[in-house]
Amino acid sequence: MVVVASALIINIRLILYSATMARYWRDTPWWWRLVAAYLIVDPSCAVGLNGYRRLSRRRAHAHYFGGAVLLWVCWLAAIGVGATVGAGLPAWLHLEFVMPLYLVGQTIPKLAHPAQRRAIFAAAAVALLALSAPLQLGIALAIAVGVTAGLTGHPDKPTQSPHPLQRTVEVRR
Amino acid sequence: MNTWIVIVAVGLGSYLFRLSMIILTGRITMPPYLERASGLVVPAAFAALAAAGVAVACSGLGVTRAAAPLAAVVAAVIAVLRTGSSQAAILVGMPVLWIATALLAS
Repeated sequence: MVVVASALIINIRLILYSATMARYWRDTPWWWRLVAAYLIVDPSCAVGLNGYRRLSRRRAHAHYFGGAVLLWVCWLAAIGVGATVGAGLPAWLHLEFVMPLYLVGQTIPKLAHPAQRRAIFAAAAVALLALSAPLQLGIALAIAVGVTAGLTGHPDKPTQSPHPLQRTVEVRR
Repeated sequence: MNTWIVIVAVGLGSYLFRLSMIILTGRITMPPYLERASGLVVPAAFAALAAAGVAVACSGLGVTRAAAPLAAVVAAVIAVLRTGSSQAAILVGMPVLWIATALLAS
C-alpha cells in the first residue's frame, strides 16, 4: 500500500501535465486524447510543448505523437536492456546520473524567462528542503510552490524561440 | 501485496491522472491564471526532480566524493549555457562525473 501511495504521489505531477496539454487538445477526437494521454510523461510533455509553441496546431499534434511514441518504444527497449544486461554494466558508469543531467539540460534554457526562472529556483529549493518528506511528497510540494512562485510578478512576454539562450549565443558569435 | 496488483494499481491510477484534466478542461473553461500556471508546471517539475536527483546522488558519499556529481552538474550547466543545446548537459556532464569520481577516489 505504501509503494502504491508513494508511486501515485510522485505521479501527481501527471495531473498538472494533463492540464498543461489539455488546452492544445480540446478540438481533437476523443480516441486521440485517450492515446495521447497514455503517452504523457516528463520528456514527451517537454517535446510536445516545444512543438505547440512553434508549429501549426496540426503539425504540433504530429510532433507530439511522433516524439511520444518514439519515447515510449525507447523506454520499453531500455527497460528490456536494463533488465537483461543492467547488472553486468560497470558501476563506475553511474548511468543513474543521466536522468538528473537530462533534467538539468532541459531546465537551464528556461531560466531566460522571468516567471519560469522563479518557478525553477523555488521548486529546486523546496525539493532540497523536503528531501526527507514521506511518500515522495516533497516533489509534489516543490512543484506546487514553484508554480505559485512563477505566478507572482508580471507574466512573461511571449517569445519567438523556445531556446532564447541559444539565440543569444548565436548572436554573440 | 501481490506485485502485479501494485503494477496494475499504479498504472491505472497514473493513467487516470493523465486523463483527468484533459477530460475536465474539455467541459469547463480554465481561468487565465490557471492557463498561466500550466505553462510553469514543466519547468517547476523538472527543477524539483533534478534537484532531488542530484541530492540523492550526493547523499552518503561524504563531502569530498560528493564533489564529483556537483562538478558534473556545474559542467553541464556551463555546457548548456555555452552551446544552447540541452543534450550538452549529458554529453559533458557524464565524462566530467567519471573523471572527477576517478580523481577523488585516488
